[in-house]
Amino acid sequence: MAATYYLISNTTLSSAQTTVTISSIPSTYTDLILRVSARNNASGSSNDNVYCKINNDGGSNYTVSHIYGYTGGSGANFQGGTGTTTSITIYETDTSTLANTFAQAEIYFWGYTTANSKQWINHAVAPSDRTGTGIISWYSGRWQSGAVISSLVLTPNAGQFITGSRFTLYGISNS
Amino acid sequence: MAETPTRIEVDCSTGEQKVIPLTSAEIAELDQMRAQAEEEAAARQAAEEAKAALKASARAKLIAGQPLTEEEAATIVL
Repeated sequence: MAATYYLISNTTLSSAQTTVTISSIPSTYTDLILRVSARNNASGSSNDNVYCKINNDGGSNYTVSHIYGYTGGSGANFQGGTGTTTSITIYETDTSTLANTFAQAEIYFWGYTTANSKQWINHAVAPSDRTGTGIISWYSGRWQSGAVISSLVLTPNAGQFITGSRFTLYGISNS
Repeated sequence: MAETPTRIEVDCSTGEQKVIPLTSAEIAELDQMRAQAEEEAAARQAAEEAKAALKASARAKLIAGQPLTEEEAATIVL
């Protein structure tokens, strides 16, 4: 039977925010998808990071493999078995990129209510700025916890998410 | 005086969205989390740069007909 998307929450910021917390996620679906369209108000490296913590877990409980490429880089880069990190990383743009451009990302969480550790995969695109430093990346990983995912906490690595940044959570039902 | 940063909490069970000023403890926690995440990112970047340097060295040695180290040879996909 085909999987089905259900909109759980959709938030477009009407003011700058340091952190976005999506809480009380219902445990009635099979998988989750989080879509993020984000930009921060810091200046700096063009392609900034958003850190996503599951259930606000900031411990070294996230295993990560990463493949990415960027304009002006030396082709695709792969980082396998890079150990554990304290969050899931996706990309966002900042004030050094073209005005009104937001980076796009999607994180898929498998079996978020199961007692096993939770696998996730994400892909993200940060559009090129005036000097051509766009980036595309894929991460895969596992949150090493048996807990049900009930909240997601997203924080930019610098500054605040700007007005218009969007965070959409879907539940996926396979039955 | 700097404006106190805020966070937004979206409650999926009610649909309610609350904007909440960060406490000083939350700001400290945020700073710590950002510093730690930046350290991790820097470590990944350093590993990437080391690998790129090995690749460049392997390429230069291949062109020059010189023997490669085991680490350099491992960067080549055949």
